[in-house]
Amino acid sequence: MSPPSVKGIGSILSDDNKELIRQAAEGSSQAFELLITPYTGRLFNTLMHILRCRESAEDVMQNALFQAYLKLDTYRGHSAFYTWLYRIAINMALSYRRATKPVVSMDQQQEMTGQEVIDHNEAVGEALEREERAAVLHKAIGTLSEQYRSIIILREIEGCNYDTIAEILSISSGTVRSRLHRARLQLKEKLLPLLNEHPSLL
Amino acid sequence: MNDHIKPNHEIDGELLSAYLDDELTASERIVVDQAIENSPQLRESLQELKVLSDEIQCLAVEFHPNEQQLLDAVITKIRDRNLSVHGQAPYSNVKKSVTARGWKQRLQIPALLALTAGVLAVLTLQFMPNEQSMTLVQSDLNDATPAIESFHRAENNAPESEAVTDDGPPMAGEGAQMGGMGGGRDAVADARFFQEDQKYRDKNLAEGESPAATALAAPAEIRASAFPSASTVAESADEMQLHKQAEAKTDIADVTYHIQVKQKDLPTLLALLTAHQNLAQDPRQRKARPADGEKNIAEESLPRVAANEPMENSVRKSTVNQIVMFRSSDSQLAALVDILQKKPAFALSMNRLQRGALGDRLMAKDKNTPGAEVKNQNASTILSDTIFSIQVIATP
Repeated sequence: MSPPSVKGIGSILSDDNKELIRQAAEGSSQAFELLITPYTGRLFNTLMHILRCRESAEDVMQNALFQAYLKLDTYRGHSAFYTWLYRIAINMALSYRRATKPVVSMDQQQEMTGQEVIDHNEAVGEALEREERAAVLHKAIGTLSEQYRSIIILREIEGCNYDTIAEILSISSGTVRSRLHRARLQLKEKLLPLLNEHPSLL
Repeated sequence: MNDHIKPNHEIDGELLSAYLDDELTASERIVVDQAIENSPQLRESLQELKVLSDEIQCLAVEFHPNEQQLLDAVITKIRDRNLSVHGQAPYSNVKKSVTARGWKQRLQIPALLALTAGVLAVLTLQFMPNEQSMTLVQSDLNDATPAIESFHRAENNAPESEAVTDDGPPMAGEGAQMGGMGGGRDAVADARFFQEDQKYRDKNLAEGESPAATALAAPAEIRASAFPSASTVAESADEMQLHKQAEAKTDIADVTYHIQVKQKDLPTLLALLTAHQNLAQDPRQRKARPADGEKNIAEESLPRVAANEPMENSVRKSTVNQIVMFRSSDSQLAALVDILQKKPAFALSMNRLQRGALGDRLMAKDKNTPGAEVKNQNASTILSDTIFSIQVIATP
């Protein structure tokens, strides 16, 4: 299954969007609403993976979108609008995490990972195994450091290319390459003990 | 999944990782291709990376926001901010708690009736400054009745007490009850409107307006800004200035409508508006009416159609007489527009001020143009909370 791709979202930024950006920058809330609507689903998904708490993700997203509106006049169009928007939102999410230091219980994680399992046509046993594997994986991702988690989410879940990740995280493409590799290594290390707890998943 | 990625002496894991992501330069890719071909160890490492990547992608849980709720909350926040910045009565900070229902589902008859009656009441007052106008209303009532009856047939289940809200704002509980027919979003939104309406009226009272006039000038869910005042209106020399001011006033509006009415059709408009108001009135509204002889706020807010002036003089030029701003769903506005459009004498047009392509899109949607391109699939659901402006223009 191919990951949902932010690259596809980028193509939405047509001339029409530029007009929306202009109007929104002049104060039109309706233009801003039209502008951000295509990105809200993916952005929320990203924030959920970073924050691992729906309420926090909603709060951060609301604030991020509001800040984006206020700062829209500073958007110069040098990068795609969605990378600019993601940069604001992810920076706010990371700040939020640092400020709140959330502790997510296993029950919460299970509740979180139990939502929206993609393939509903599996047999019950397969579905359970899949849920279990998803829970283990998300637990492992949740134990990564913030910078590794962000880059794994942007690459593996959001499907961003290195340049896009570099723009969103304000780092160089070379740093993306090395950091992503280290993140993968660390994720494997985190996964092993978890998988050992669930031998059936090995 | 194996325990680690084994490094190769020439090709490190970082390069391999980028190879998997198709992020290598052409020359790098050639090198890695050759190395992989010659090294089973590298092939195994690459396979491990691929398994991990596929696993993350396949098992990634999709989280979906309550999109409409999020958007509503953000847009409300933005509009609160914009209204404050523009010096309008700020909306409260009551956070919207909304369901995911679409705007069509939110078309609730009581709210629609209250909104429509309120808007029409404001418009009526602006065209009906004295008893002379009331006479015209009565004589032309029959002309306007079919459209009104048609409208009210669709609302015959609406409790009368919910229809008119221009005698003072219901308490938040009443607003919630009114919106309750439509669900939690409407209840909270209505409560917010009522709270804001109360603030608006309190502000006017503090500035010396009579309670009755304030109540009539600002019914629930409506922000009516009298513009320009009678004393500030001059002739054509000021007309451009008027339009500039109008534009500034409507800058925060998303959609602007113009209603042009000619002198000969004014009685019909009065009849339509007043009859509608009468049909919707309740005892509270009657109490709110100024007593006979009491100065009506409309006398001050209606420079061009003042009854004490000869009508020929008062409306000889096309002039923006009044701007009425209100906040509503587009579906509610559509019902109001539909009523007014049944009378061809009322030149009702939708204009966008400085809105460009967005305005065109909304206009196409508003007119339900066949094949109209609504590029954003969510457009129909996000036009649920819109600030409208109606400019009433009197022409000879």
